[in-house]
Amino acid sequence: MKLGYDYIVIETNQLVSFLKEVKTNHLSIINLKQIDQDIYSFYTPIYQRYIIKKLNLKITKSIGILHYLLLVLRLPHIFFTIAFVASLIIYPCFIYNYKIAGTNTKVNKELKIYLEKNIPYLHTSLTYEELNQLYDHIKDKFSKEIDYLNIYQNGGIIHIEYTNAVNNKKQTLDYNDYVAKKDGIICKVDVKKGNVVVRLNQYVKKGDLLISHLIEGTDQKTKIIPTSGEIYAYTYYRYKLSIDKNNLSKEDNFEYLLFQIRSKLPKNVKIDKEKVISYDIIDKKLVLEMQYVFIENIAVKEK
Amino acid sequence: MKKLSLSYIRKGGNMLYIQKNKILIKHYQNVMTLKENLFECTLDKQIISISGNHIEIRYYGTDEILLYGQFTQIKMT
Repeated sequence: MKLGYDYIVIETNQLVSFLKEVKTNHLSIINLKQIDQDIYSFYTPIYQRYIIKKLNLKITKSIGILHYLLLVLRLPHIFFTIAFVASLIIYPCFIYNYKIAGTNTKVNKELKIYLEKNIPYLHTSLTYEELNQLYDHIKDKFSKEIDYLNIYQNGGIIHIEYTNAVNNKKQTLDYNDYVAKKDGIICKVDVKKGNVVVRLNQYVKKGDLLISHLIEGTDQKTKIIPTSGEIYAYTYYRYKLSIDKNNLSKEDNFEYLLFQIRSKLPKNVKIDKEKVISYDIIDKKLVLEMQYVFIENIAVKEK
Repeated sequence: MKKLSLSYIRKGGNMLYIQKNKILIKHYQNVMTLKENLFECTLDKQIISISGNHIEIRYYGTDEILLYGQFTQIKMT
């Protein structure tokens, strides 16, 4: 039997007598070795411990599975073992947590409230039928927010996985032409739908057609297509501002005028260039004239 | 299956299995001498003396003894 052994060290000058006693008591000895003069060591099977006690031998150490098994079954370890085994059996019988896997925080929060209300802490574990019912309820309740739903129970935890509902709103198609709202030179074309009738670096005037809803196919037939997009162009502006000469100190005049002009610039444009055209005194007034090159979307729907 | 390196002597109710460095004695009665170079035990009506080097008991049971070592001589008296 190789399940477990006790290791024993004895001190005797009459080993033969000891062996005789061992034989009389039907004890088995394994690996008898002489450690020192009159000191011997050997192993005995754990199941013969009662003989060891009878012979008043001292166990130095023990090895093997049986040894650990006996350790576990001893007091007070037996209580911990029973508690551990009981927890393994009892814990999966109750629900003590939920795990929701989804990206919509609002839905997650509502799901948690819903679960806490319907399945309180330490509720008995759900049957397949109850899980199916829960699935149907959640699917109905969150039909607008959830597309795919999966509910399963793993031990004492209910797992809920879902994917967000795809936005199925109908898009209204637009068949208007897009025209230029200002003069400019085309620098960027960002058109999703429609027939683009201008090229990059092309100069366009206000009212020129940029995106058309008509396109001619290879069969020479004209088709009507929806239009959508943005066309960016370099546009040119001049701003002129004047103040009374005596109003400010000499050093602040230019900065003040520049600041005033800049504050009047449109906000939805990107400034490409800024240039001072003139800075003069005309009729006792300081006059600043600036030129700007903007990059802006010039495409607007034709009405 | 027959082990080629194993031989045995059967005399009366006793049995002796001999391998290269192992000797198994069945149905022994008492150990008389246990030294590093000599082992003696009584059998039913005989005494068996085993001489050699580094003799040690690998297994000591109620009815059998397994010896390990470098054996040089076995005497039955």
